[in-house]
Amino acid sequence: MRIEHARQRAMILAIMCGLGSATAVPCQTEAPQRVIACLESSGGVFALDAMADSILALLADIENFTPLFERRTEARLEFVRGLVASHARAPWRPLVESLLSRSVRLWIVERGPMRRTAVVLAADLDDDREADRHATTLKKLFRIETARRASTLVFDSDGYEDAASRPLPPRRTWSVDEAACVHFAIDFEGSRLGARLARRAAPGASTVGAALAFAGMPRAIVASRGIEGALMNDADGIRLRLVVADAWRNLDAASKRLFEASDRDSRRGPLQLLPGDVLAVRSSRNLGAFVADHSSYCLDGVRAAIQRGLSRLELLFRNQDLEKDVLPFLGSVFEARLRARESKKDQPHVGVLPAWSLSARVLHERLRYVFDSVLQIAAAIAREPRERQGRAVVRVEARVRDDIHRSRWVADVHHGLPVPIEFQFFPAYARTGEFVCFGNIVEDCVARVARSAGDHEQSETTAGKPRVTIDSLRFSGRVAAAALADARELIVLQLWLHRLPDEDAERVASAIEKLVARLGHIAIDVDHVGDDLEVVLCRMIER
Amino acid sequence: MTAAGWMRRFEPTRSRPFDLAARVHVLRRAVFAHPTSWLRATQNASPSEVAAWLVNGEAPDSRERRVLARRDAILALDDVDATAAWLWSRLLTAQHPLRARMMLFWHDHFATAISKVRSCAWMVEQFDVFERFGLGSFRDLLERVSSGPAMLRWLDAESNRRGNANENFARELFELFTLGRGNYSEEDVREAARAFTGWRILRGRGHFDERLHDHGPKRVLGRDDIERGHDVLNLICGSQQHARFIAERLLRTFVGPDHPEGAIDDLARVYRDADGRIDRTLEVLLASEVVHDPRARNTRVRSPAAFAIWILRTLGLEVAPVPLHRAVARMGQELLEPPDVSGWAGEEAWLSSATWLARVRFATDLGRAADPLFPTPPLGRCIRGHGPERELDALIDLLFPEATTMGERVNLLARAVGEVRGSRDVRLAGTFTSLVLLPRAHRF
Repeated sequence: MRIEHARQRAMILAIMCGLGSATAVPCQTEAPQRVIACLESSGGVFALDAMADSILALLADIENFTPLFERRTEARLEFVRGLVASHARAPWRPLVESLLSRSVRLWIVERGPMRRTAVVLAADLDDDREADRHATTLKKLFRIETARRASTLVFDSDGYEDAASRPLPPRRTWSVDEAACVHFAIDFEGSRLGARLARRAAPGASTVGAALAFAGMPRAIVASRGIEGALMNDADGIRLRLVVADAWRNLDAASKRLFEASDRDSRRGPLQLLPGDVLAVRSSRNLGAFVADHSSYCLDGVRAAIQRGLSRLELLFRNQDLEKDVLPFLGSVFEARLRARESKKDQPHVGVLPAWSLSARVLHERLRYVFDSVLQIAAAIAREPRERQGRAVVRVEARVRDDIHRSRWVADVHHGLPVPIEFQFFPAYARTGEFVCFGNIVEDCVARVARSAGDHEQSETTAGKPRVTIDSLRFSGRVAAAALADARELIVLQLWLHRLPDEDAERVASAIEKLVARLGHIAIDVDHVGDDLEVVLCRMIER
Repeated sequence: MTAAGWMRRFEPTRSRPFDLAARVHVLRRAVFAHPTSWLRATQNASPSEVAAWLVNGEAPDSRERRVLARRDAILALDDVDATAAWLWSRLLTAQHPLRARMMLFWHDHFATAISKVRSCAWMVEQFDVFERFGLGSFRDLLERVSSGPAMLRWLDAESNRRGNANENFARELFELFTLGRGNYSEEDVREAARAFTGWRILRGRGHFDERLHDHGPKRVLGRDDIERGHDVLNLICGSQQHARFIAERLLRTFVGPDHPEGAIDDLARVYRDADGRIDRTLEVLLASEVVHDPRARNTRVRSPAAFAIWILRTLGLEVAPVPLHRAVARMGQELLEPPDVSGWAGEEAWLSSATWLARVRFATDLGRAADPLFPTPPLGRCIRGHGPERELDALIDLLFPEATTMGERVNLLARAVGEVRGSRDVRLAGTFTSLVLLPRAHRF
């Protein structure tokens, strides 16, 4: 769906930032223009529905968070809000709402080798005076921001009429997601932005976490034509779909091996939050391939760190060679969960923290027994320093019930003293069939994972191409807020100890709970569909 | 109670009145700080009434109760910095400031370090003992501290067993806690160590185990009727030398290192007459001639704790406890971590080039009202008056209220390079920093 604009009512504002000097070439030069990013919004209910209970509400609530800000940040926010309100002669919130409720078009234009990026904004407004007022306010804000950054700013509408009226090339997502209220696209091909991102992505991952999470994906993304996106909203919430065309095809072979799940693992049903879950993450990573191939997408320092990590871990695995004897026999799909848990009345906890679990499939039967001893060895390693520090010594308690092998760390607490917080993180291990689970909620975790593995679903297809999920995340703001409320005393304590006076700490803790509850139900999926990479982000309203 | 000689009650005269400067002096010596509310509470009071007010204290207010209520949560964190920081907030919110002051005093006296004790809960328990018994009978305090898990671990009491006595505790008991060097023999140490055999830590508490105790005959300080540790404590606490030892310690703290020699015997007599009760001894001392002697003023170097408490309580500033704990540790006084069993050296040793820089940083951080100590500008809230001169006046009124004469104020004004430009916050920060970094701000 393309948006038809009433030209006479459109406000067009061109902003050029960061010129070399104030005497640089004026905008009216004939330097070629290139639109590198564009956004078209049909306006209306989108902005209000999508933002009203989140970003706008957060802005309205900002004073509850001010104790966390530095004074300068707080002062700037207040200044901007005041400036907007005074120029628009209206409270800032209705103003922002009214602006966002219109049709809005935005281009980012690169123009000539000497010039930096220009932003062109067009919005349909009812009368010219209103348009002028908004333009003045925006210009002022940008002028202040540019002055703060000590760069130069040129406003010029005329030089960009052409860019604003030029039709953009047809996009794939725009045809697929016709009902979307916002479409946008960012081009990398041949643009300075693409070149700059390519230079940053070229060296490879700089941390172990980044290597495991993204491998060669950043390089593949910036080598693609660009990113397209569509934002849809309905009564249940909003959905953002990003497509990176050809990113999967551009991905190097080593990275593909890391992300590819084995056949048995790839057929699992979609990830779902269970009652009481704050967060669930499922990732497809072939750790055997990671250890073997990581050098093709990592910096040297990361390679050394991985080798150090492996040699430390080998101690837990009875000095087995992780690279040869353990990792190749692990399944390639890992599931982690964070769950709120109820406090037990007989235990003098000062706050209840969410429990965690990490589960995976172990393909080789012999390895399952190796995992049995990991907790024992970890307890033995932890015992000596704990004993030296006068802390409760941990031991491992093991039992088998309903075909589930379970072992856990236990420690005796001195009578009458509160249970140390660290006890809430003490790990346990459970195994049933070919599934293992580490964490502190292993009782039902391993059985559930084993059950859900049997619920195979037909793999989804899009336009005839199979959809393969690499990463999935589900988050419940409502449950997270309840979990934060359970741990409120600890949050307030930490804020008070390190930063804030008592009353402010209480206020900030309440504001954090409220903010998290507002996040709603969030789902993120990273898939590859044919040669493309797709990221889908949904935010559902929790009722 | 006999209060003669240097311990006779200070009677103000026209030439030596009990004026604002005298009250400020006694408050600084006793509890480090002199907020306006305390000066108001002691207005028109006699020296004895001020001493009684200090010894009796007040009931906890809501802020102090809130801090105390966090005990379990702090213990659950089991973190040294958090524990020390929480103890700091106890010291700073205590409505019985002399009791809080004595917690610090006994922490220095029975210097126990967490680096060896390795248990935040045991250190907190020891501080609780200091708070509860620190103004009571020294004999009771000594027995509680000696049988607490922190002291048992600190001086290796757990390895003090029949047939293999460990003398660490007995030696420090004589030398540092009760009698002083030269007032006992090596034989006394060995025999006393045997009397203390059998103590160990069981389920986080001090526990006496008959089976590990040496039941043989012992001879300590010339007495043969010693069986167990508490017999040794009774013997020591009843001795004249012990009274002199405690008297000397109290005089060094509340009068200064150059206290008159004769004052020791006078205070020792008071201490014995008070049955070894610290509160009754201090009530006499704080109203006595020796404390109010003008020559005693400004003779002590402010410890980092005294410096921080003076500023924070006097100005009514609230700071985040962990950054405060770290700042005071940088100045050389790390709570829960005294340098050795004899405590902090004190006095001139507090001021080295490194610790002076830490004091400058502390003052600057407080003044500029920025992270890590302050999220909001507290100085602006507690200082009245606008304009450079009024702000400087207001700060002097709070920090140096004894500077009442024009000459003294001019002297302070000349030395404090007050900021005259910038916003009120900037001016206050500059003036505050230059005032608290004056040499006289580091003596009391």
